[in-house]
Amino acid sequence: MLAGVSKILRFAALCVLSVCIEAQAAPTGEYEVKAAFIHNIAKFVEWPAAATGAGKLRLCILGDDPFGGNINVLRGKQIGRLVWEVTRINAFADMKSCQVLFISASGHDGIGQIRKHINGSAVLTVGDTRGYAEQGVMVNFYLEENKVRFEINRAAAARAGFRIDSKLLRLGRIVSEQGGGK
Amino acid sequence: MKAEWLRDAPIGRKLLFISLLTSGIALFVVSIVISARGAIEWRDRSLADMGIYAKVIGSNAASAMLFDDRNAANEVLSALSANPDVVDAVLYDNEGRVFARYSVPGHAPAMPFVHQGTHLFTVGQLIVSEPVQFKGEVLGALNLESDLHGLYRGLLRDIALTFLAAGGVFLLVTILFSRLQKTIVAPIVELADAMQGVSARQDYGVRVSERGKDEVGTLTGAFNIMLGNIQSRDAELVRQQEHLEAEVARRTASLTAAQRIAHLGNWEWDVVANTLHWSDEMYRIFGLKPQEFGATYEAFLQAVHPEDRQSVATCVQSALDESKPYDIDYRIRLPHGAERNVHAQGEVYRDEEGRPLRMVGTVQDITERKRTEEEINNLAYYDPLTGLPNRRLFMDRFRLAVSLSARSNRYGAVLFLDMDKFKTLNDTMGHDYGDVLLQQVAQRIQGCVRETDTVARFGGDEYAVLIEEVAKLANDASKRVALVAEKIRSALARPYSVKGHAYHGSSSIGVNMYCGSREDIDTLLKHADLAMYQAKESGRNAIRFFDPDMQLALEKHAELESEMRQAIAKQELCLHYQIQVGDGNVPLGAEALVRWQHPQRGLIPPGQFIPVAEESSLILDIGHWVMDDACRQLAAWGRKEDTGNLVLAVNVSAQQFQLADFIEKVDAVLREHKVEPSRLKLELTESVVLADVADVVAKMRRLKDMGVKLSLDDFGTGYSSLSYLKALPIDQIKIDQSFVRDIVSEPNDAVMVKTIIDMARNFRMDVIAEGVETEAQCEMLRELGCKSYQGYLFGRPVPLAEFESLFCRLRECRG
Repeated sequence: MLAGVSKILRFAALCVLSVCIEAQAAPTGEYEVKAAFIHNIAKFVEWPAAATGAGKLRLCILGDDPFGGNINVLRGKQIGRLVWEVTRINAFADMKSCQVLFISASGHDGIGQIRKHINGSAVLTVGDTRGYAEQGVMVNFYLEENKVRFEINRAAAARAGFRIDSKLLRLGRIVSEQGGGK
Repeated sequence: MKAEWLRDAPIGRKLLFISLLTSGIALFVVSIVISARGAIEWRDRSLADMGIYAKVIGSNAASAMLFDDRNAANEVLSALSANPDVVDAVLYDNEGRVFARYSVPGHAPAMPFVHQGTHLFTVGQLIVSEPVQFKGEVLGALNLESDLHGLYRGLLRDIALTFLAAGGVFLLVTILFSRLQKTIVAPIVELADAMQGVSARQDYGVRVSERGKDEVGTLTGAFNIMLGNIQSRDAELVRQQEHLEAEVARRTASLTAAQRIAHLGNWEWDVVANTLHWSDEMYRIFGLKPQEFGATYEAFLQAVHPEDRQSVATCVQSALDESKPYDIDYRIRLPHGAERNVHAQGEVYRDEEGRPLRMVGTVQDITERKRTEEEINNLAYYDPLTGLPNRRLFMDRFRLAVSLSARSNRYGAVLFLDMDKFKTLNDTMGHDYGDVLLQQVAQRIQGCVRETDTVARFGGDEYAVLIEEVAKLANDASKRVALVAEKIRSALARPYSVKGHAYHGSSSIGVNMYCGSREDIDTLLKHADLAMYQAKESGRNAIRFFDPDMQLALEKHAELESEMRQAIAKQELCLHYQIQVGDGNVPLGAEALVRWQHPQRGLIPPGQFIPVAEESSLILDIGHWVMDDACRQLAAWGRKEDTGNLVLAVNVSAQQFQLADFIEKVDAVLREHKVEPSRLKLELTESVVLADVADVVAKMRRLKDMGVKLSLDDFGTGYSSLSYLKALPIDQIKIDQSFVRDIVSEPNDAVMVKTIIDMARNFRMDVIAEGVETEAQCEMLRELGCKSYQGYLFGRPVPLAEFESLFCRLRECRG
């Protein structure tokens, strides 16, 4: 009896929550979209087995947090058995434990550093700053006709041991490291 | 109509029809099933195809939806252009908004909405809605519209192909079957043709060749066996038929012959249709030809004699109406006028309600029989020679007349008459002559009496006349009858002309009157007969009425006859001897004359009893006794010298001489007494000679050969004809005493005697005269040339002792 009541209550809570989400998502903000994109992109990316042993997808935000509350979009979402965990980091030291690393514009000065630091680790790097892709960030968002689009650096991803679904590749703009891609 | 057609169609066509119908239906059904299954398959496949398309495209478009990339989504959808059937594709997001769309140019965009996961078939389109998913998350739905015309084209092609194949198979079946069916149909057709031929030509000798051992083979075998059976039965039938026909022909011929022989025809009358069927003999009897005969009852009546027509019609009618037997004699008239007597019989056949249907019967021609019957009737009652009633009919009428007279009390009379000396006429002139005379006599008698009187001939020259209802008084009646009798007598005494010869005859008539029935008719007739004898005795050509005295004489006559019968046994007869002498009174012999020594009446001369004896066979006994006694006497005389040469003459009666064994009897008597035959002289009267000259002459010759002497007695009294005298082997002629009696006074008699003597001399015969009583007569005879004499002048007939003494005296006289 108690279990039935709790079930109903949980369902009700979920409903309230989802309404809340919708309410927040309704004025589709740029970072809300980007947060959803991160989730979607993650779906097309296959981590090496060792990298996801803890059953968590750790999104690390490096630098200023542009998302704000928008990042809550990911909360509770799963990809397969992996559950999102969002962390804001400032030090390089924590980088290797992240599965996804969002590098905000403020963290721009040290791309090379970051690359060096995480070299050899299966960390999907994501940014939204022009030129990041060419610098080795694996996925980089940009705006086109007021719509969020993304670029993909296949080489960088491949180096890190990711396998990216061809469908994602077809949607994103493929960028090579030297010189800008199209 | 259709069923009839099928029923009457040949088996080959029927089989073909049935096989084509069944295989056609089977093929059609199979084709339909295949086609339907094809259609379903096509549908399922296109549904699956469209589902797959939708899944693939949806899956491809999922990422575009994830990233809200409409261009990419459109790009993905445009890949559908590779399939020309897909005419419209719409990608909906979860809110039902169109996210992306692809449609072929010119396609009307009105694709009805279909909920995801379902599909919709319409006539021309298939709409499939598939959810667009990415990793288990439903992003929206992709609706695809497919134009089904392509599908239909394919489907139609498939169906067409199926039916084409089925048609091909049907054609193959048709060809194959029409070839294969011949193996079944051909033997049946052959069998059927054979059967038809058999029934058309009735030729049961046909056999059908047997092929195989299937049912047709069995049928053919059975058919052949049946034909064989029929053929043999047919042959048997034909044989039987021929036998029957032959039998029928034989019997018909036999029946026809029987009918012809019996003069019996048969007929059948269909009363309802009034048609007559006659057998051949019927036509023969009626003298008609089938084509001349109307073959109806009326035509038949027409052939019946008009006088009998009514009775025949009545008889037929009562047979039809009252079932009386149809059995009738009638006359028919033949076409050429002749008549026939027929005897007809018939039976009527009726229906259940008794109405006459047919009449069947026979007609026999009895004309001949009738004629014979009439002839027999005539013979029975009429004298064939004169056509007069005979004794039987006369007696019938007489009996009737006598009983009538008893009632009417009127006298009648019966006349009995015969012609005088008719027998002599018949003997001398022949029966033909006599018959003609008898016929003329009959006519003359009939001319003298009334029509109601009866004239009958009793045979020979005896006639009887019955005169009825003469008068009430006996005197009147006697007078009138006497007139009639006189009329008859005089009529019969008129000269006759018989076969060109004139003949003078006369009759003797006896009359007896009757009235009532005091005496029976036989007696009445006998008395008339007696009266006639009386008339005859009175000198002929006379009429005598019966009187009782005459009857008395008759009774005496009868008494005499019976006494005479005993006289021979009682030895009452004796011989007297009358001497016969030659010239100079020399005794030559004697004539033996019989005498009856009656115990009461004394000696009776022969004139009184010999005629009576001659009426019966007594004369033979007397004759024999005389012969025997005479021979005994001759033998006795022969033993003495004096009398040894005497010749004894014995009278022989006609009856005696006519005996077949007369000669033998004479011979036996002569031998018994050992008498020299030449000493016996037989005196024969003319009546003996006249019977049968040839036979008499033969007998005379035999007697002569034996040595017996013959003398013709009473010569000149009868019809003795000098012409045949010559033929008779006679030794002596005896001149009758009637000539001798008047020889002296009557010159005619003398001439007659002279003629006889001369003739005898010519024939080398002796002559003896009897009845010589006077010397004058004796002298006269001697002068005329006679040599021997007998008579009272020389001696009367005397007993033996007297004769012998007379003989002695004469010899002594001479001596």
